[in-house]
Amino acid sequence: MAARREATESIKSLRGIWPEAPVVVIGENVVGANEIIRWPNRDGRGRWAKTNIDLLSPFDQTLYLDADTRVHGDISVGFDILADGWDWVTVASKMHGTSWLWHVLAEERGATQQELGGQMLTLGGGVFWFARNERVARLFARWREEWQRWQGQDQAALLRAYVSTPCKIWLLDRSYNSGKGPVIEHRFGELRKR
Amino acid sequence: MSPRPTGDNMWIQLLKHHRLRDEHGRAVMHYPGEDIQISNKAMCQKLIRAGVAIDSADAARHVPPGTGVLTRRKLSVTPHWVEALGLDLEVAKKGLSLPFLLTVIWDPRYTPRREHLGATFKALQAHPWDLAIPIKSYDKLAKARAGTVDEHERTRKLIREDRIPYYNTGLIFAKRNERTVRLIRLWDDAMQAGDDECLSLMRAIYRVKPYLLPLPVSACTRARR
Repeated sequence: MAARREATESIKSLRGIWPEAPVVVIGENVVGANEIIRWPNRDGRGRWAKTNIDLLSPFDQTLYLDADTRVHGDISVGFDILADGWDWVTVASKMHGTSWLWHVLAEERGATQQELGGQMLTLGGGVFWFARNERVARLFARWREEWQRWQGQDQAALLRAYVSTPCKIWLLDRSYNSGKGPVIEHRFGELRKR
Repeated sequence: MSPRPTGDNMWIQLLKHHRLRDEHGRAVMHYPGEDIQISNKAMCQKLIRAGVAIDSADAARHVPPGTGVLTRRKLSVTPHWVEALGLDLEVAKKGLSLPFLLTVIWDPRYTPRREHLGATFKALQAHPWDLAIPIKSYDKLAKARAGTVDEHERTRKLIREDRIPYYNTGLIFAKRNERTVRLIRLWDDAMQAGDDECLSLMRAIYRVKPYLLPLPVSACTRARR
């Protein structure tokens, strides 16, 4: 219920900026979506669905948004950057040291640091644009594999996946994914509270 | 060059502030990122186990063959991190190039953080990344006092949006291939023409679209005098 409410509000905010945006929701019926794709909610949090969106999205260029986001500004730049030839457009996390992957299970966090050899840069998993091509398909396949190891949060799995599966990444700043993002606001943890 | 210092001395890099006694017995504060040579191996191991420091030679085992350092400034002394990793060092004569299979283009105003070096070399050796570069600032390129207003606008038009983090020109890991040779040439040509170092790097990256592994800001610190 909470996820559905958040998704409804997220779509409403998107339509305020881009009324004709084609919106696909993976999972449940949500008001405002153009299409619903039913998908088993294996983990109860939609993370398994997220790691499969390259297979589910009908678009050549997709903006993925977590349900707990609100769009406040023009998001077309991500699509323009993809059209220029980039594969993945996202926002990096500033977290490092003791706050690196703070929300991930300690065992998975430790294994990630050990396997990578250090605290590599984490990318946001709640807001990203991606293109449909072989490189991105390989990245998603690797993300699915990595997520299935612990089946918890998706960000550490994404980190392990992208470091081992190069693609053409362009970064935007936190205006596009943060608690007070003027373009995309991310109400982090809104769904965890309920 | 030997990857490890001779004798009983060990080089470590501090991860946290720490006071150590100097040869006169005075307590001196040392800073994160600082490289220190210590003769007491037991103390070194204690600091490493406590997470206060990292063995400077730890990254050495991941260094790919054919790696070397290119600097734009002449140095009076070979930096110990270069020695510890057994790397060749060249000074760029007429502009930048990629003289090694993997060239670390390094500005001595910055210190690479050892705890990231190993992970960076590991990723570059194991996977087909072209480049790895630390982010200089997570904040807006728009805020950076870089270049003229005209150049900033020219950059913004090309890269679509200046609300982006920008890369640190002081530490660039570049494998030599067609994309990176082109990128370095574009960057160097722009700088030779008087363009800003930072803005011109962002434009070169955007034009070439390499497989660029972004590194955290903490991968590189400003060197202390």
